[in-house]
Amino acid sequence: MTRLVRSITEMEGRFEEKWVLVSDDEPEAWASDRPLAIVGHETPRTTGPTRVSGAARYTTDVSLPGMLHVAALRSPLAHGRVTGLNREAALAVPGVRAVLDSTDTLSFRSRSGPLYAEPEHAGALLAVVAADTLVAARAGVKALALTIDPLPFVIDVDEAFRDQRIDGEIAEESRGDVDAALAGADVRVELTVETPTQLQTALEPHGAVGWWTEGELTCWVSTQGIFDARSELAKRFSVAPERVRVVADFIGGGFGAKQGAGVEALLAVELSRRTGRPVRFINDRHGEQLDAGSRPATRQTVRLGATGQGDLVAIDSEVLTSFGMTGWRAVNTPAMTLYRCANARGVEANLKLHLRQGNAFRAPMVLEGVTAVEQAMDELAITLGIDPLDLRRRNFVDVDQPSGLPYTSNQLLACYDRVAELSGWVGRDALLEPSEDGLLRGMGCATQIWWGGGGPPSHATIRIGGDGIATVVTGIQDIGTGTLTAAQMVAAEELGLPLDRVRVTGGDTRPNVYGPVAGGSQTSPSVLPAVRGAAAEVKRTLLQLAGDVFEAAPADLDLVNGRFRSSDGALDEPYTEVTGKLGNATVDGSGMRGANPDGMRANTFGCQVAQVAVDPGTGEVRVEHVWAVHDIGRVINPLGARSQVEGGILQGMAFALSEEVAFDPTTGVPTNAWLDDYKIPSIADVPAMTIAFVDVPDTALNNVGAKGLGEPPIIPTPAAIANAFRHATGRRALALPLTRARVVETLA
Amino acid sequence: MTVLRPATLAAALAARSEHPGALLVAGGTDAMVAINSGRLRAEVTVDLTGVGELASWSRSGSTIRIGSGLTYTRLIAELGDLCPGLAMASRTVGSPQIRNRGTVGGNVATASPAGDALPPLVAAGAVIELASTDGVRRVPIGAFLVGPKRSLLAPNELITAIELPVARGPQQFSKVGPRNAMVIAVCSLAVDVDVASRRVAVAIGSAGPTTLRALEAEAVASAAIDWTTGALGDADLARFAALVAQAARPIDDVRGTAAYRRHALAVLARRSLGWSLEALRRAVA
Ligand SMILES: Cc1cc2nc3c(=O)[nH]c(=O)nc-3n(C[C@H](O)[C@H](O)[C@H](O)COP(=O)(O)OP(=O)(O)OC[C@H]3O[C@@H](n4cnc5c(N)ncnc54)[C@H](O)[C@@H]3O)c2cc1C
Repeated sequence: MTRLVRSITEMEGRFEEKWVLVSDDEPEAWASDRPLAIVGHETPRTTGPTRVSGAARYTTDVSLPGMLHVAALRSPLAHGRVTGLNREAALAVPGVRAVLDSTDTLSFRSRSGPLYAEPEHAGALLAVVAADTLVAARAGVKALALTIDPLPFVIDVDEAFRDQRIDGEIAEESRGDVDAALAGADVRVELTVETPTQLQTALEPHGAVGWWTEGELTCWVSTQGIFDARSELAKRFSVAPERVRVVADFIGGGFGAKQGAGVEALLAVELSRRTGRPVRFINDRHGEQLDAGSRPATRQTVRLGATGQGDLVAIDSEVLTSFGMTGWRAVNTPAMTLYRCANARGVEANLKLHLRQGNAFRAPMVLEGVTAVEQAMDELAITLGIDPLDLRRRNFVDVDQPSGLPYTSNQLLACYDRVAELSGWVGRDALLEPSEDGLLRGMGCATQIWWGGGGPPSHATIRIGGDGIATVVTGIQDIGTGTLTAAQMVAAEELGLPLDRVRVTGGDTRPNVYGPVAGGSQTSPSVLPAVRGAAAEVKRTLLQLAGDVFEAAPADLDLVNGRFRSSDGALDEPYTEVTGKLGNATVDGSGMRGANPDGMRANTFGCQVAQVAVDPGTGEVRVEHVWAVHDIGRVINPLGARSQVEGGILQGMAFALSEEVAFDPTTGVPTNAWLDDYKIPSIADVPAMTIAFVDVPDTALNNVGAKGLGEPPIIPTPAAIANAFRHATGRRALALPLTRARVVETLA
Repeated sequence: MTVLRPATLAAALAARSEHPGALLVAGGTDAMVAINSGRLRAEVTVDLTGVGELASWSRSGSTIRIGSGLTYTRLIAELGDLCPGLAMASRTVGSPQIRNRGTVGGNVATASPAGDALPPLVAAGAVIELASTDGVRRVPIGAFLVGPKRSLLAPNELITAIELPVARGPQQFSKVGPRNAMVIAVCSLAVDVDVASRRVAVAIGSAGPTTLRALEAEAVASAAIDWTTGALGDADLARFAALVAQAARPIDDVRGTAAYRRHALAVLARRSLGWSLEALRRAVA
């Protein structure tokens, strides 16, 4: 039986009540102590060999007969007015088939742009040229011979604040009486820190191949959400969703920046509609680094008040975010939720600047907030003379304070204990002894909080036929996280089949099996319960059929590791004895993610400890070791989970050490929007990593007990590194990243 | 576009004189970047990788002759003992893939102030061998490098080899970059200690229009070192470091500020000479 119920859904902290379809036949959550055969065991991802051998076909590899290539003309100024574009010259270039700029009336609707006459950031799209070859398209862009008048621009935070260039309202949330509590606190600390603009820098840039044929639209998109892309394309071009097919077989990373269809797909489709040809629009690296989004820079001031014993009595946080012209606000989430405190206030404003608008980037806003709050907590621990981990334990809270709701599960205290044990935290002051190599060493910690409970709607179907292969169909896209392997594991577990008897598909809207956008750490906890539901239905049918074949009571049979067994052990037959009789018939099952539990909040937690070595001469900071322990409910695939954490740590480390967009103050143009001067970590920068999970299933949340892991591992890393730097040197850098020059200045 | 693939030096020189504007490609790790970014266009390209004579090295007495086409990978494997400073610098170049392709000759010809092979060559007093169909000439590297990406290479010439003395004492190379690999130097420094003639040479990279010698610092250190023991007082070492920093002519750019570069060079200078003398003290002890 399926029913429609009202349920709360959440994505990156935005809550919404929706009608959702649920099934009465959904399996009960696996009991915490139930031994599982496949889930929880290390499993290499199915597509590993395909990826590393180069056989995987990404959007950028799609090549169709007659396909046109797009080159983009981008604004060379932070703010300007286009005064001249020679379209005729561009169209005269051999091979050029179409030119679009802001004067064209496009067949899709757009609030602003996507082609600008008055660009408000460097890299904004001014025009696109489609041609038979990329070389011809680029020649077309050149032939446009852009002339543009500069207009005044503002990219400086102080200048923008002085001029009160504030986007919309200043957000304020509070509880208790913060001012009184601060005034009455035994101990107060105040810290102002800055965080840098960080670029997602996915290996595969944004891009799409659009093909419009008689009102049918096929679009290959490098996207984190094929269904979001489908509805966006359907809505914008006014076509029925079932006439739109979105495909994303392999995605070379997204890190939050690839939501929906994206401007590349919209323009590719528009150009395809005009030319009748498939059209490929893939950002080049410079275009990607200029105009695919970012984690916006922040300036944050955190004031903490505490009793002499270390109980927080006040948290006060003020945030300025350099979002571009508009954005959203969530940097204060950690200030409001991370620790027990009756009096808390968060004030947050977005500055209107001539910058590419920020967008989602792995733990958007929360990473930034944690980076400031956790450095302030470190200062408080130092002021109080309390062990920083003890201070955090002391202020542990097991409810979501803004809503007053309990968590579905919270193993944060166990994370603290385990990370302390693994890292040798209690002995960390021994690192302060002078060392032979002259480097200054220290250790710091930071706490992680994030949502990541997932929720409905999310669906899956499973079909098994005469060949004995179970095919799982999902509507998710594997952006490099290994989710499809996790789905394969869950299906095999529930079906009682060996892993290699199960195949999983995703990345295509055509089967019309809905999956959510891969964002907010929601994919696993949303889709895996649906997969399990579908598998349970197939297994029920298979047991029924086995009863027919073996003349046994289905209730007395089980399917384990590919064999039907009776409870007394008398019957033990391969499952193919049953599926082999199906002929061309198939056994089908479908499953859906159930509603989230009422009156609870689902969050992930964790703690990381970092050890750094600082060269006081050159200012080099080397992260020597990171210990990470996270609570993500049940760990489905420990191998995949660990590599997810490794990636998060590296990306967080780079935010703390080297990644930062630099701007030319005289033009407002980024000076390092390439890969040579924008420093993501190299293999030689990778620290030792010790990764563990408090593997306690969240049985209240969903039937597999899993929470998400996409964002959690990046969240505490920068603050842990900054606190380790403080421990090592006795100084706190007031801005990240800890570049060589900034470190030398800080230590001077 | 025409690509010529000479198999001998004579054929390469002939191609060069026939097409004076031709683009020479050795490892291609600078040339291809320039082509891809549109900074460079060439009607004729001469691929030097088929010229065996360029890809070897030899020793005669106390002189090493490095063919311009010797890759970093081979240099590191084969010349680590004879030219330790150059080998150290080679190890910091790019990634294994870049070191497999990239050549010392290409680095010299590019003449970037940030070229990592240049400081050890300048400190060692290397001589660049240039050849054309008209003959061969030898130019000291200091004179060969005339400015940022500018050298004395004539349009009809090839760099055939780089000659430098076998190390006459400890050598060091250090480099600061924003991360641990695949970095263009923010600043770099080579120290070459010539024990027999009791001279210290030091060259600075990425902190001036071209690779710079710090002559005053060299003179001060050479005079202050006790050459029988390898001892040098702290004050003299500090003075040496300060003079190195003074000799630099850094600018502010995307990769670093002038102030940071000077500071870091002083640190590198103090350490590099310190380590070199430590090695010397171990050797005499
Ligand atoms: C990813 C990457 C990382 C890098 N990292 C570093 C680094 O860390 N440090 C560093 O110093 N460099 C680095 N480089 C630059 C480059 O690898 C070096 O400068 C290398 O030494 C160039 O050698 P090549 O053989 O590849 O030169 P090519 O690219 O083949 O040639 C370079 C130039 O020299 C000319 N040329 C080549 N051979 C001769 C010859 N025999 N006679 C006359 N002219 C000649 C060419 O015409 C061209 O102008 C890096 C490059 C890349 C792409």
